Amino acid sequence: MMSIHAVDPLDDPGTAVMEDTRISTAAPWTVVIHDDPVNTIEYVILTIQRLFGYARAKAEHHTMEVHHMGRSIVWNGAKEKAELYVHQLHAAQLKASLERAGE
Amino acid sequence: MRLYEFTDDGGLQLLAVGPEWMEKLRRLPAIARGDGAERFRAPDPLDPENRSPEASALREDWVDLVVPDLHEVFDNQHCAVIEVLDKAQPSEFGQWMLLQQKLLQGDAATEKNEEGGEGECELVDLTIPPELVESWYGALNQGRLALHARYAESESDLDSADDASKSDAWKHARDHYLFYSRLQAPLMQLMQMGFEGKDFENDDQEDDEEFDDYPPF
Repeated sequence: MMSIHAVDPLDDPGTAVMEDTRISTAAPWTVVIHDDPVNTIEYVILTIQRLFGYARAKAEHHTMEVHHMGRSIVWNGAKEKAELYVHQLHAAQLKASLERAGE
Repeated sequence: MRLYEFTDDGGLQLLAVGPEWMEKLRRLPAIARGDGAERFRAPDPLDPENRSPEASALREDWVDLVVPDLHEVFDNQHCAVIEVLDKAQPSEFGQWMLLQQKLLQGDAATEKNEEGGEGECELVDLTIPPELVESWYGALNQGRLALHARYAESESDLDSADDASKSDAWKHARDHYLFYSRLQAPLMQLMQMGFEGKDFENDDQEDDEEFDDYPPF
């Protein structure tokens, strides 16, 4: 069900804000980084931090998951944005792919 | 022995670079575009097992729209390397090193040169400006990815010192791979410092033996 309605924000009663409560039914996509024998751990951490804006600890977690498990899901969401992230990861020469969530 | 320095603005200066290093750097674009490069120049955006109609359409889009962009990015990285090599300057530090070497070796070195065995080699300094640091890292990475894809028989194969049973081509590839890898280390440091907003201070390289396998002459 989709609906759009106006709400009054508590901090500024004079301003009406449109809140979009539509729920997307499209299945989300995931961005997966795969292990490779050439790229260094430090480079993968830095690339994840720069592209996704993650804190160092979170980027390290994903990198070590790639290193030990062979892959890590680093992001999920809309297909177009997932494609953009994979494009950027490929430009950074990391091995990355798109997957439908749950595949 | 200090063989590189960070510049105050976040660039990298390679000091007393000899002909052997220069040759390895000049060969980088050809190596990076050679056999083994398809892994990163034409990457699959999906799991290779995914053969659905939707996957097929996405792969076609990738080849049409993304791959040309990747080629442009990667080729620009090669241009960054060539740009710096073309601006190489004679190395004062290198001349000083050669002088010290002559003084240490004395007559033996002089006689060797006179016999025509080894002439004086030209040593140069290379300055990688901050805006080209990332491109240099990328270009070196391309070289390593291509060499690994072409020559490595196992994950750590090209890192191996055990080369008794290996071909000359493999040894040649290993030399290039390790050289590119070691040159990436200070570039990586600069990229990290830039991302974290740190000052570009030179660390103490007195104990840094990473470059010892690659003397400039």
